[in-house]
Amino acid sequence: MAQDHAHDAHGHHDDHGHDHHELGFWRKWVFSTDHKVIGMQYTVTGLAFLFFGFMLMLLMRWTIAKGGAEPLPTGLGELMFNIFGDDVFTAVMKDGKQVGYTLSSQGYNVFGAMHGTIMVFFGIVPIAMAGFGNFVMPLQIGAIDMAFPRLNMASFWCFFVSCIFMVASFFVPGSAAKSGWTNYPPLAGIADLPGSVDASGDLLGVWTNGGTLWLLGMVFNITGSLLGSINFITTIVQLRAPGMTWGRLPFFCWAQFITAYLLLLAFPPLESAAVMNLFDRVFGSSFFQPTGLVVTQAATAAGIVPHYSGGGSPILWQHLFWFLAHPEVYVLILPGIGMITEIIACNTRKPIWGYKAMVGAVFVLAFLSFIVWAHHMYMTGMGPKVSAFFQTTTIMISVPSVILLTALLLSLWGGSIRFNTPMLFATAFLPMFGIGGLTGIPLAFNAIDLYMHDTYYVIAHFNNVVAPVTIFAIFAGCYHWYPKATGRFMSEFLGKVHFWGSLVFINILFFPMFIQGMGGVHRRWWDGGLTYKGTVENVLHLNSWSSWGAWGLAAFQLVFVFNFFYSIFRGKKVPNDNPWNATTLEWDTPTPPPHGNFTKPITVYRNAYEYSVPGAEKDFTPQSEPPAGTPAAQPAPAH
Amino acid sequence: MSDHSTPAEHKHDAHGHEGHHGSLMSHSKVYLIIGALLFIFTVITVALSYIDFAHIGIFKWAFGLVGLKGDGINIVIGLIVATFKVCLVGAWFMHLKQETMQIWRPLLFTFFFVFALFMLFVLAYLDPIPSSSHWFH
Amino acid sequence: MEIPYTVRPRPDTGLANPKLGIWLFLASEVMLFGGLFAGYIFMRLGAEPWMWPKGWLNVPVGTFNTFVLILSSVTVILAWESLKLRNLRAYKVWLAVTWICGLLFLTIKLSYEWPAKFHHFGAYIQKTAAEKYEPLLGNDKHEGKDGHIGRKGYPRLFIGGHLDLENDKDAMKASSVPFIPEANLNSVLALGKDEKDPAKQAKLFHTRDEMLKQIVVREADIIALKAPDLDPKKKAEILHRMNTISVHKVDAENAKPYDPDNDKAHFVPRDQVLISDLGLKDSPIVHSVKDAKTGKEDQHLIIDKRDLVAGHGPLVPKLNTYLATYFMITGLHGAHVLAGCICFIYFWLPIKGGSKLFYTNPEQLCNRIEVSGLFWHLVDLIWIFVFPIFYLL
Ligand code: HEM
Ligand SMILES: [Cu+2]
Repeated sequence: MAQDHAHDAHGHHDDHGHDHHELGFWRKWVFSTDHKVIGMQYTVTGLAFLFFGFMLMLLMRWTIAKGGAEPLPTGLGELMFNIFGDDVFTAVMKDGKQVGYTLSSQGYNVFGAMHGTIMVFFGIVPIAMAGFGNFVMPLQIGAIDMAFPRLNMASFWCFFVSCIFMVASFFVPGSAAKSGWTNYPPLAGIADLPGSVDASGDLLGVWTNGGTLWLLGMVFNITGSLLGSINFITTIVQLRAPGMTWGRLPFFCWAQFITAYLLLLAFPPLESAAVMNLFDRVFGSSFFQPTGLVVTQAATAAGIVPHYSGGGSPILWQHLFWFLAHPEVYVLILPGIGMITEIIACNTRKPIWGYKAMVGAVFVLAFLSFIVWAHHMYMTGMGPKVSAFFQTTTIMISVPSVILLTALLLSLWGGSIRFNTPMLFATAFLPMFGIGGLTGIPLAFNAIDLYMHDTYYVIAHFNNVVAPVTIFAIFAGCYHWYPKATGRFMSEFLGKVHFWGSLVFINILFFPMFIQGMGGVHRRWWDGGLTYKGTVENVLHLNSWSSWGAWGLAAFQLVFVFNFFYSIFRGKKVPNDNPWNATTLEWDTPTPPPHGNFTKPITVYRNAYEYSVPGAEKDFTPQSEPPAGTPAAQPAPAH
Repeated sequence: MSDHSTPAEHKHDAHGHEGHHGSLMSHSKVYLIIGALLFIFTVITVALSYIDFAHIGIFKWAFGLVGLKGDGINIVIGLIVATFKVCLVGAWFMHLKQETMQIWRPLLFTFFFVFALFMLFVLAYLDPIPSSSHWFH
Repeated sequence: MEIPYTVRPRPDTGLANPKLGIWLFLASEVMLFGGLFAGYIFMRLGAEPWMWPKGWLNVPVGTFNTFVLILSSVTVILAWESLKLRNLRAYKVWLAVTWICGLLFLTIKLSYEWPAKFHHFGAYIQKTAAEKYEPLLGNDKHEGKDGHIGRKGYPRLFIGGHLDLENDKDAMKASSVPFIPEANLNSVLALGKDEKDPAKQAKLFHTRDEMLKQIVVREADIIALKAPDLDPKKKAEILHRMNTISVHKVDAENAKPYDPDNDKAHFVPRDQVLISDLGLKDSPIVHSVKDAKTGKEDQHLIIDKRDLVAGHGPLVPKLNTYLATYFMITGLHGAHVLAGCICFIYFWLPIKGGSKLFYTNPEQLCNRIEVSGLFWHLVDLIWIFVFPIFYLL
C-alpha cells in the first residue's frame, strides 16, 4: 500500500514532465522559480560578494602592514580613490608633495565593518545555505522543487534588494557603515548621524547614510532568510520522496534542516533590533543610547547632537545581536559540514562513521547554540552567576562539535580515498576545524576571555573556523557539484593548484594572529598597532607575514575564478549522470537536471551512504536502487 | 492537483482534519463562547488595572515573597490574565488543542527560546558585577 | 509540474505544505515580537521612573480596539467554518466582517491614536530648574502614601501641552529642535563664506541652507539670517525664538497640584487649560504674545530649552523610550493588521484566487482562510499583550 502511495505521488511526472513549455530567458534565468536556478543565483551573487569582501580586506591588510602611512601602489591608489571617494581614501603627502593614496583611518572602519558584514551575511550564508541548499537539497530528497517555489524566488529578490542597499551605501555621503559587523551602539547610533556633515562638507541624508542603509539592508536580508528557511523546512518535511525516511536522509539535508531552524528562530530578534536601531537613527529615539552619553560635535557644524531621551541600553543591542549571531556561526559552519560529509563519504567509498551520532550532535548543537550567546559579552560587566551559566553552556557546546569532527575523522579510517580536488579541500577542512574550534574553548572561560576579548586571538579563532573551514567546504562543494550543474568537470590540475596555494597561504595569513592576539594586539587598530608600539612591539613584525599570506591567498583565488568560468565552456565533459559514482539522489537526475528534476518516479530503498557494501557488485548502491531480486519489495513507510 | 492523500489505509491519518465535518455545528458555539470569554477577560484586565495591588496587604505580602513590589504586582497580574487569554485563542481559535506533534514540536522550542531570551536578559540585568558601573547609571 | 501536498495533507506527516509553512512563519513572528518585548522590558527597567509615563493612552479607545480585534478573530473562524460547510454566502459575510473590523482598527489608530501624539507636546524640566516652573509642576508639599514626594520619590517634572497643528506649526517645530548656542549658529552661517572655488562654495551653501532649515523655526528667519547686514538685535530675537518653546495651552493636570497617588490618569481625556486662565500674569515664565494672524494679545508659557532635559517636543519616539517602544510595537503590529486585511480582501473579492476559487477548488480556498486566519489570530494574540503593557500597566 505504501508502495501504491509511492507511485501515486510521483506517477504524474511522466505526464507532466515533458509538457512544460520553454520559458523565455527572463523567466528561466532571472525571475525563475526553479530551485536550481535560484540556487545558482544565490551562489554566484554570494561568490561575487565573497570576492568583494576579500578585496576590502586586502586593502586593509596593506594599511596594517605598512602602519597606515604608505601610499598604495600607483594606479591602484588612484583607482580606489576614484571609486570610493575621499570619505574612504586620503592623499598621502611626502615633503609637501602628494605621492599617492591610501585608506584613511575612517576608511579602515568602513572597510572593516563592511568586510565582516559582507562575508557573513552576503557571502557565506547565501552560498553555503541558500545556494547549495537550494540546488542540492531538493534533489537529494527526491523532490521536484521546493515546497513554495514562488516564495523561494521572493527570498532571493529580498536578498538581492539587501545587496543593493549594501553596495549603494558605499556611495552616499560619508560612505558605508563604520561600526563593525556587530554594529555596536552607541557608535552605531551616532556614526554618520543624519543631519551632520561629512569630511567633504556633504550633508548626510536621513535615509541615505551608511549606518541607516546598513540597517535597511539587514532588514531585507533577514526577511529573505526567514522566508527561505520556512521553505527549506517545509520542503524537507513534506516533499521527501517515498521511502526517504528521516533515517535515510543524507547528512547534508539534516544540516540544512537544522540550519534553517537556527535562522528561523534566531534571526527575528536581530530583525527587531535592527528596527529599533533604525528608530534610533531615523526618528531620534534612544533604544540603545545610554543616559548621559557625551559625543564630540566636531562633524556637526550646528552642534546637532543626537537627542537622547535617556534610559536606553547598548547592552540590549548586544543581547539581541548575539542571540542571533551565535546561532549564526553555526549557520556558517553546518552547511559546510554537511557538504564535507557528502564529499567524504563519496570519496572514501565507505559509509559515514556514526551517522546517527552526527545527527544527534547537530540537534544538541543547535539547541545549545541558543543559550550560549553571552559568551561574547563577558566584558559587559555581567555578574558571576550569569557568566557561570554561559560558560557552562559554552563548554557543553564544544562536545557536539567534537563529535562531528571525530565522526568525520574516523570516516577516513580504512577508506580507499580518492584524493580529487573536492576531497583535498574536505580533508583540509578537518584539521582546520580542529584548530578553529579548539581555540574557541579557552575563550569560553570568563577568566581567559577578559584578556583575549577583542584581540587578534579572537580574530584568528573565528577566521580559522570560517575561512579555511566553511570557505574550503564551499570550494569543495563547488568542485563536487559543478559537474551536476554544468555537465562539465572543473579542471583537476587548476583545482589542485588552487587547493595547495590556498592551504599554505591561509595558514600564513591566520596563524600569526593567534600569537599577535596573545601578545596583546587588539582588533580594529587601523595602523596595525603602531600607536601602541610600546606594548606590542615584539609581535608587530607578524603583521607583514599575515599580509603576505593574504596577498598570496588572493593570487591563488584568481586560479579558481579562472577555472570556474573556463570550465563552463572548456571543462571535461561528464561521462554519465553520476560521474563520482555517488549514492545520493541528486546523481539520479539528467545532467543538468531539467525543470522538475527527475525523469522517472523516485523511490528510496536504502540508507544514504551504501558504499562498498560487502557482497554488492558495485562499490556503491544508489539510494533509489531496489534491493536485489525483489524490485517491488516494500520500502519502509515514510516517516 | 496532487490528490495523493491516499487514504485511510494510512494509520497516521487519524489526526487528519477531515474529522471536523461531523460535528461542525457545535463548533461555532464553542467559538462564540471563547469569543465571549475573551470579551469578559478584557473587561477584567481593564478593571484590575485600577486596583493598586501594592496597597492591599495580602497581595503585597504574597508577591513580596517572590520579590515583587509596587507596580510590579499589577504588571504580573495583568500579564497572567493576558496569558490566559492568549491560551484561549491558541487552543481553540488556532486549533492547537487538536494539533499534532508536527506543529507542537517547533512551537515548544520557540516558546522555550523566547522564554530563555527574556529570562537570561533579565538575569544578566539583575546580576551585575558588584560595584561595577556598567549599567545605566 | 505540480508540487505535491499543496492542498491535501501528506499522509505520514498529516500536514499540507501551507499549514506547516504558516506555523513556521508564526514561530518566527513569535521570536520577532519576543525581541521587541525584550526591548520593552529593558527600556522599562532602565528608564528613570519619572520618565516612564502612565495614562498617556486613551483606555476606552484601546479597549474598544481590543474588542474589535477579538470580534474579527471570532468572525474569521466562522468564515472558515462556513467554507468547510460549503456555505459561500455565510463565508462572504463573515469574512467581510473580519476585514472591516481590521480596517476599523487601523482607522482608529491612524486617525486618532497616532496623530493625537503629534498634536501634543511634552517637556521634562531639569531638576535644577524645577523651582522656576513650580506653578505648573505643583510638587509643593504633596507627599505620597509612602511618605515621599512624587511617584517613587520623584517629583513631577513634566509639562504637557496641546499643539494646534495648523496655527502652531512654528511652536511645533520650535519644540522639537534642540538648544542651539549662538556660536553654533554662527558656524553654520559661516559655511562656504570664504570658499574660493565656486563649485565647492555652491555645495557648502546648499549644506548651510539645509542645516538652517533643520534648526531655524520660521522660513522668514532663514532669509533674515542669510542677509549680509544682519542686525544683532534681530539675530538675538531669532535665537530666542529658536531656543524657547512658547505655548498657550497646557494639560489640565499641569494646572493642578501633583498627587502622586493618583498618578494614573486613566480615562482622562487630555483637557487643556489656557495659560491666560491660570492667573500667572506676573510669573517670569509667562509672556504676553501677539498672535501673528489675529493680532490678539494672548498669554504664553515660555520655556527656555536650557531648562529642559534632552527629551522635549511632540509625543514622538524621540521624547522618551516609552513612546519609542509604543510606536515601534504598535507600528509593526499595525503593519501586520494591514497585511492581514489585504489578504482577506483578496480572498473575499470574486477573483480567481479569491472567492471564485470556491467553485473550482473549495478545499484550497478553505486552506487559504485557515492559513491567513492563523496569522490573524497571532496578530490578535500579540495585541492581547500590547494592550495591557502600554495602556494599562
Ligand atoms: C567549538 C566551539 C566553539 C567555542 C567554545 C567558541 C567560543 C567562542 C567565544 C567564547 C567567542 C567570544 C570571544 C570574544 O569575543 O572574546 C567566540 C567568538 C567567535 N566565534 Fe567561536 N566558538 C566555537 C566555535 C565557533 C565556530 C564553529 C564558529 C563559526 C563558524 C565560530 C565563530 C566565531 C565568531 C565569528 C566569533 C567572533 C565574533 C566577533 O566578536 O566579531 N566559533 N567563539
Ligand atoms: Cu559564540
